[in-house]
Amino acid sequence: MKIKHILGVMAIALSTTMCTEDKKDPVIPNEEELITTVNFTLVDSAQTDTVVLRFQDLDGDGGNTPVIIGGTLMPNTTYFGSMELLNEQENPAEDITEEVEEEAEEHQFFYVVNGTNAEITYSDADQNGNPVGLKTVVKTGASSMGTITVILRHEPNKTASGVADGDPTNAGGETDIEVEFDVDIN
Amino acid sequence: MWTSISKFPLILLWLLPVFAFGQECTIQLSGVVTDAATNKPLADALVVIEENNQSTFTNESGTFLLQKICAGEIHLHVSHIGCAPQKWYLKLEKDTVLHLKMQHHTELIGEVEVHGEREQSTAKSSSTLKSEAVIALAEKNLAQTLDELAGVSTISNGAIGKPMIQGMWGNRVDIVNNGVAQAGQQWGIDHAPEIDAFTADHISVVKGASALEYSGTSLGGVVLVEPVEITRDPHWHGVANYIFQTNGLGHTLNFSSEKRHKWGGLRFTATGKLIGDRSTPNYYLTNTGNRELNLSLGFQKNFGQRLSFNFYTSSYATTIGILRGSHISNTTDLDIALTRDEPFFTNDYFSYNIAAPQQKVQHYLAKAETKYLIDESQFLHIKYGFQRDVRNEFDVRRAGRSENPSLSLTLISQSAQALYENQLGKNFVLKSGFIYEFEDNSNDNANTGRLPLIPDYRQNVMSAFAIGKFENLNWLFELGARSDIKDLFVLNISQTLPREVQRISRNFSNISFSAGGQKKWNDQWKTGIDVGLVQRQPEVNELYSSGLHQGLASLEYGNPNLLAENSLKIVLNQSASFDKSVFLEASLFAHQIENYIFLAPTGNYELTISGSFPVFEYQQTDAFLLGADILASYYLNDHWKVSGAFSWLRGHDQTLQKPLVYMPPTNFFAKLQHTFADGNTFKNTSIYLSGKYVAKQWRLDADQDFIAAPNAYFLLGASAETTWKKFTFALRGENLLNTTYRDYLNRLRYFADDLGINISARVTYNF
Repeated sequence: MKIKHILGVMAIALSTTMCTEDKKDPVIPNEEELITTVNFTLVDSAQTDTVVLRFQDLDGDGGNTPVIIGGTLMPNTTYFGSMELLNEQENPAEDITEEVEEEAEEHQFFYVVNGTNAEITYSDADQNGNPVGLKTVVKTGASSMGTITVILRHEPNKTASGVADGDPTNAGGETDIEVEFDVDIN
Repeated sequence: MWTSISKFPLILLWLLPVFAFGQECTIQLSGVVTDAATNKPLADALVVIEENNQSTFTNESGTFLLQKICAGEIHLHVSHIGCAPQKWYLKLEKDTVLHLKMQHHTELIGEVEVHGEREQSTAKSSSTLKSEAVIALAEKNLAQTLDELAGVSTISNGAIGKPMIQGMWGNRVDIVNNGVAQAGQQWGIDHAPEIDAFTADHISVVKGASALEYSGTSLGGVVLVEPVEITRDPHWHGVANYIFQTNGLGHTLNFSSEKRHKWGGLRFTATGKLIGDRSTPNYYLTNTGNRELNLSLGFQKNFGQRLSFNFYTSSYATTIGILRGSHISNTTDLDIALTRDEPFFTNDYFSYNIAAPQQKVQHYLAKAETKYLIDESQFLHIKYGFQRDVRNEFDVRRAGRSENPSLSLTLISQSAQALYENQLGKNFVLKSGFIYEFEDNSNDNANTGRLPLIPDYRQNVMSAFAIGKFENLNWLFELGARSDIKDLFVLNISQTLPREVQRISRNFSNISFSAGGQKKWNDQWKTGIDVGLVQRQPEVNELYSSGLHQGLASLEYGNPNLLAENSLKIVLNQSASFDKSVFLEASLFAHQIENYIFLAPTGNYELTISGSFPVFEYQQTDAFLLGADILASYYLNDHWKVSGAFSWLRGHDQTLQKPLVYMPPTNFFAKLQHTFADGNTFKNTSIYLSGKYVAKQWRLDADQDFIAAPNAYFLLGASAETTWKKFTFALRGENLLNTTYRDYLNRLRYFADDLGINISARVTYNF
């Protein structure tokens, strides 16, 4: 008698769950924190030359490979650099730059130059007076070929040695962005 | 499980002297105390009636006599050197003769196999961690408590660990908690089994034919976490434990109490843990604390002598911090992290604080079972289990999103099983069963804002098994077969835009066989052989996981084309015992696995916005494992004992002609123990000194890992324990030399040293 009861309860519990194929579709996440696009815009001081270095990966990690567009800068020129981050999965595109601005103390961009004859310095600061790197000054030298790697770190140690000068080695933190652009000076 | 039947005569024994009489103090209580394992009488055991402190010692033949006892309820407390003291409850109405069996302390239990047969002798090669050993290590996680058993290691990510049996872990080692197969995250190093070790009376590792009752796919073996039957004593009894550990300034508090009411037996347990940042010999491991709150309630009722009913429910909740400096964003950062002496984000102060990256896990289990003794030779056992496992993992994220989990899984599982045991003739027992399991996994994508690593899925598994056991005085044979049919329904979100849900339906079936034999040549020698043919179908994570494994700096892709793993394992056991003082057990095994599934680096890198990541994909190869576990102990006399365990394992990838990764390196464990004679005040006093040597894992090619395997290390441990009245005090030291080391099977080795010295102090109060 007891066994029958238990078997009955079991049968009911199981029959409510047996059908596998009617499981509801999962919610497709709204990847609001996603950064699909990096626009590093460089305008020379005379405002005659504008170069946009662009990284775009609309479907995020995995899937299709990202599109990366490099650029050519004029020699011995001073450019003003500004950084724009977008989530273009949203329509209209969401400006992630604002998130970084709001949490400026927790973020820092690094610009690592390799081969390209250019010197990049910070021209902005967070509330503590440490650089953020959304605004930069880029001074080009003689003609050359190479790359500029743009790195965005979340929660870096901004007071660690060399970090305020743009060296990421001791910064730590989470890397939100690390993209490499081909940049020639000609 | 075989004990279930054998417990009935015991129950009858208790029920015999229950006729009510008046207060007469003329009753005589006598009996014999024997060693449960060897059946040899135990001399000089102290037998005390707790109610009036009347006491006596057993004589050379193990017998005792207590006279002029008043009728009524008494608690009989029996202690003997080298044994855990035991308590029996009796209702004394007339002269009574008892046969009391005492269990010897044995922490390395393979020893029990030699030390004499356990009551439920089977051909299975099993090793058990008994209650005292479980309590002694209970502030650790479940996998670490098993670490001392020969052939069992822990594969871990800091304080999070899974048991590894002879090189097998994860999907290949099932864990059965309270008779219900644990449904949690079997996959991954960074998911620990959601079980409170305090709820276990003993934890066993079962291999061979008997394991087929629990799982058809466990190539390594099955871990059984088993409680003891609820007391028959009509008074509240129980135990309270408090443990303090210096490394992590951890507090562990546990309370358990039980009573047999007229309407049934009740047991209640509660465990709380608060542990802060652990430390290496040189620095704190920032954000490695953990908290736990576990509750359980058990109820047991017998209807007459044939039918019994059991209900058990437990809740397990934990928050675990992950070393902040081990959370790596991409390969560039990994290269930097690997070369640092101290991980990033190392604080120079201690803290109980836990922040992202962290895990919050809740596991709920409810079980109802009934056992029915049809007649003297037939037995029916029906079980239903419900589990709900909610896992949330938090990463460091921008704009306050660290509050939102990056991974949020809810796994619901139900299982129903019917087991039937039939004694066919004097020496032959047949056990068969039917099991149905249902699993439903859902991701909370709206909350995470990320594509899930493991897709939503549902699966049904139907299994049937039969195990036959033949036993006579010197021979034991066991033969088992099991088949599982699984249908899996996966709801996968596409990696490419526009995102769409792919509904995939899959069917699998597998069949496993096992045969074992054991021959007792004489009192000294025993030989066993075990052959298992196990098939394992790929699991959902191996087929369909996809995406960035946060913190592992790798992109992981499942492979929907995986085939079943077919494995053949042969185990040879040889045990010997001489003069009840020298015990030896050696186990040699060879394990061939066709289509062994493993996560392989593809050699490709995939470019993402946060840098490039190595791509790992589930692939198959043919693997061969060869290993040996040796256990030995020597009792110099009643006071001194030396014991040792040795494990050796080789894993080879036959297709790629390379070593297999994640194989435990050769290790050796030795212990010197001294047990003191009981004094008037302090009893069960013992001390030990132990050493553990773990060799370097040399068998690893440079391209198989980010860095070379860590160097060999030696850890020194010691412990002292004594009992005063109802209190037991224990001190245990680990890594006493404060050695700086890293362990190959601990993923944190990439970033940080392993734990420095730890002293833990325990007070246990029995009432």
